[in-house]
Amino acid sequence: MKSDMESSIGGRIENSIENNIENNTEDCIDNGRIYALKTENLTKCYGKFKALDALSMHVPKGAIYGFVGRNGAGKTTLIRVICGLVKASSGAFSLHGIPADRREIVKSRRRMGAVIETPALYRNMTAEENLKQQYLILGLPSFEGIYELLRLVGLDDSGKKKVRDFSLGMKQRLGLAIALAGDPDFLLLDEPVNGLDPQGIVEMRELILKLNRERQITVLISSHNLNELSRIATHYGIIDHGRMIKELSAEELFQLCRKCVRMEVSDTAALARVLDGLHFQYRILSENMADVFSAFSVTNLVLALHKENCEVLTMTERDESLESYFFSLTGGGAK
Amino acid sequence: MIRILRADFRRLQKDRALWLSVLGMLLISAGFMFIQASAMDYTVPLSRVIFLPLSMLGIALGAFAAMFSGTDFSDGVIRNKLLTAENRGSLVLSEMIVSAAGCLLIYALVTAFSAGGGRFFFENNVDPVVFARYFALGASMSLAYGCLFSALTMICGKKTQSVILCMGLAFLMLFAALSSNEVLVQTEYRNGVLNPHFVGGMRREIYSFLHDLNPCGQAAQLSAWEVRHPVRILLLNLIVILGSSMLACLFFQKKDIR
Repeated sequence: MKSDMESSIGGRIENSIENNIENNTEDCIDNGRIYALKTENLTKCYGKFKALDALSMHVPKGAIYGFVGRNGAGKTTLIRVICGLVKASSGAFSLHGIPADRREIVKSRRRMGAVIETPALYRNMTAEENLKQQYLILGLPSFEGIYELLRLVGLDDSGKKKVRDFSLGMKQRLGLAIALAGDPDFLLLDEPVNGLDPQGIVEMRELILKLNRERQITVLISSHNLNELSRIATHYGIIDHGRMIKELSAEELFQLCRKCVRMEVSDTAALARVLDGLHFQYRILSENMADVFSAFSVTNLVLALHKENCEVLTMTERDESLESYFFSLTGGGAK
Repeated sequence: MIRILRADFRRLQKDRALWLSVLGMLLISAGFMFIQASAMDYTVPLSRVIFLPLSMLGIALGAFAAMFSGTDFSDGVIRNKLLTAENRGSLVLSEMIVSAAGCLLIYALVTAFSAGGGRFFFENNVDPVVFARYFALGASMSLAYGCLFSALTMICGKKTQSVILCMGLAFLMLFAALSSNEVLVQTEYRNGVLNPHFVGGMRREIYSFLHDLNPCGQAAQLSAWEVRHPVRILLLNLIVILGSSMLACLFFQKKDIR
């Protein structure tokens, strides 16, 4: 787990963010960090229902930001607000450092591509015709690059097939190609692997990683598929009932989720003394509960604790995943 | 706005609803011509045939405009447009301009077909100047139809509901026009006797105004080759075009897009 997350994700965060710092001086810089998107107390009400409740969020440039939440938590509403489809009731946000209430936000939005829920495609047109429409909407001077985009998403052989005859996976990929048409530096993907078969999920994951690595595109992905998300995300935002519960990097999540032995003892102060003496990594959770992260001999540890008059009550091996961490934060689902 | 206009005009060329509406209106026009040529026992003048299909134009234009603008909502492409539009107003206006242009095209093709084909079967009594004047009035009527239906679709935001709403409105306008026409054709005296169905005074003015305001009423006047208030009709169409554009912009500004 550690090798997966640390080597692929940690390294990517640093490389991508460094590249983007050099390339973009206009972006939103806060405490030395550059944000593609920053929201402050963003609220959206539908009547008395608060879809977003003072949500504050920070998407670092170059990151793959996994936006996690249950159905109706407010993920899609936030994406809609950012895209200008829905007006926020209160609060503020900035895209590439440009506040939403300024006219220049239009230019920032043009640097953005989005696939929201279902891909936005003309059903009676082919993949190529859809891309041509998007090129015209964006005001691009020629149709150059359409074939490359189709090849990038694996639709270069779709020919004269109309979108209405496409599979869901093909639609998702074409939606992504359309989102990429303006050569954006920020992608918003709402449930991009919804309805895809296992092969399609792998392809989508590889594509997102490729775009992030090779084009330094910041990606915000909202998803229910937490295991899938944990394979690519460099940062996480966990949302519940319209509120941001927790924002953390993949490295921080790794620290929280790594394998450990949870010990229930009569005296954690004594346990801490013994573990310090053995140079073990641990975390005290309460007066009689602690997590020990190092591998150890149970007999030796119990004997050492016995000498300190500390009784071991229970010992449980724990291997927390993003899923269980999410449930522990939101207070629902399987523990 | 220019970008979205270019994209929408390109889409219009390939829009199935447009060409189906044209085809439907051509069939109606051919049907009307066939009835006039075969069922009447006198020589029908061409002037009575040219604009005859316009009575059904509102229904075809309602279906077309709702399908064309509604597709952006049903297929979700309105989201792509909003992401790049300078502001919502420019998006609404470009959508309305293209819809109105489509309506104008349908009208022009149908009228050209009736005028061109009718010359072979009916007595040509058409004064080109009067035809040009009436054609311009019909064009303004088509633009008014286009803006009205497109505005309704933008405000409604759902394709199926928009089609029902626009076609429902078209039928409503047709029945209203039939009703007002029925009142306005009554003469004060019939066979030297006071006509009890005649409506005069202020009530007649109101009926006349509503008949001129209603595009179907305008179509009835054009098909009868007798337009009573051409300037007023032009002004009213202009008001409908501007009013519906303003209303659509106003409502769409605050609309949440799904």
